[in-house]
Amino acid sequence: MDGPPPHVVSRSGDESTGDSRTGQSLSTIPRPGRAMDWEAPADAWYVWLAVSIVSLALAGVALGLPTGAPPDASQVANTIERVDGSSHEASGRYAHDAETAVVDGRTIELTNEHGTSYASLDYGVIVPVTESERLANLSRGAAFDEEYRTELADPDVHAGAVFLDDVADEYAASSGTEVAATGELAVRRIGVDADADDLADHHERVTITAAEETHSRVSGVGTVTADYVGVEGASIDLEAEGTLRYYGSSTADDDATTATSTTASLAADLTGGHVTRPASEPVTVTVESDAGLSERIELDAGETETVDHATTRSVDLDTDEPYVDRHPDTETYYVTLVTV
Amino acid sequence: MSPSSPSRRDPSDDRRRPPNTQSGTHGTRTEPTSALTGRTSGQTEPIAAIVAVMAMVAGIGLYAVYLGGALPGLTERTPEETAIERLWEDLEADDRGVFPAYEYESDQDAAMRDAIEQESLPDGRTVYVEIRGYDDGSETVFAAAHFDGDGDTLADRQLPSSHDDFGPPDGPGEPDDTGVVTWQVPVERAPADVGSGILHVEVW
Repeated sequence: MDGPPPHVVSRSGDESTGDSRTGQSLSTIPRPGRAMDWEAPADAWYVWLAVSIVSLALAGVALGLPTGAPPDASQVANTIERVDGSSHEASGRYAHDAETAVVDGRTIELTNEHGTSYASLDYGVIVPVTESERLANLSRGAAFDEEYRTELADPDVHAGAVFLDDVADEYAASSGTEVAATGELAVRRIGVDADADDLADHHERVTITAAEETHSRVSGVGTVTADYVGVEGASIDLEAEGTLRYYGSSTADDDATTATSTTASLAADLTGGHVTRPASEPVTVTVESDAGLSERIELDAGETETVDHATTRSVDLDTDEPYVDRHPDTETYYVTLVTV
Repeated sequence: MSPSSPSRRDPSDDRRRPPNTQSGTHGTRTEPTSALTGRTSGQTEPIAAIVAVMAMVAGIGLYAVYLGGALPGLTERTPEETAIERLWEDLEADDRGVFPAYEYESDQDAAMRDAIEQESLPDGRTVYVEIRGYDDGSETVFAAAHFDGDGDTLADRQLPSSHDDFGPPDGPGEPDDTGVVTWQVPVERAPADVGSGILHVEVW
């Protein structure tokens, strides 16, 4: 029979060193002959603190994992490059999943809620279209003749020049700024040349009259008047030369500009000076305008003559903007429009 | 001292009990105790807690590793497709649509440099162009040219065919992810002798 268990029996009522017989507090007093206790009681505050920290850390890791892919900027760049690097007119489309985009010349930056991706082009500079509706329709495949119908019908305006001006405005406004993406990329390379549109000729007509005057029973040419109908914004010079009897030659001139209208009137008075005497006929009248009319006629007193002139107009589309690509053989100017 | 303490028990009970157990305040009945650590409060078992946290971390880690592979990355850039279009436009004889190989027999570097335009090459990339085919039954390279990425003019960019680095990178340690595209093109080996050849463009 074994002896009583080797415990110290304390009956003095001292509870501080309890034993297995009288109960013990849940303390961490290491027992002799035993490994250290790794106690983590559930109602201890440090246990909950550690659990909370670990939970927060794991929650942070789980929330930081990506849930989707950023948009595929490489494929967008491939699509644009096939069109942009071609040497003819071309177009292309691609459905992407970006929400905003920044297009700046040759670099493309696409962003969606999962991240941002970048790509750059190896050929040519592209023009992002955000504001002009005509250019957006063109980039999606509308015909140039449809979109620029009014300019093509207008004889005073070259549709190709208007198109290049629109592209210049769009490039300045949209390049490098963040634009909202529609989800479908549409890219088109369009060319314009000087033959795309015709400009009507400039017609000018000047009606010159040498008015007869009589002073001191001598009659001759007094004032030469000219009425000009022609081009807006032209400047016209009128010069008249005559001979005053006994007094030698006399010249008079006048000039005018058709600032906002297409008509102007000029008058040159040959009798000016200290002698009021009409010039003897014929007088030589020269009229010139900077739109091309230049004529020299001789008029008798009271005679009227009409001079006509027509100038053909042409337009030079040449520009050294980076987004305009000039084909050397056909003189066609290509622009690549991109709608993101 | 007094039997009022509820933890009175028989000495014989002590014998039956395993030696390394503790008892709670309710001494007479035996507590379920852990065999591993000898403790009675199981919900705070540290080993179990550590194993559970490790399992959770391992699970999230495995998920992250496979997620990285499952998400689609960026596709590759293909400037070589545009380059081959432009280069063929430069190299073909305009009226006949064939590659006149007999014109490139002498001074091939200069002939290729004259035929190819600077704008046909992608910016900043190295391009290797080769036209090969069969001549008299044996495979020959009719013409080849190598243009580096940097240089202001085509002459600056061109690497002569006698240079050691001429051709696509194939040595150890060199990049092997070049973009290659080949077209089958008509090649005029001698005037009026047209056969089929391969136009090979490599961009890296």
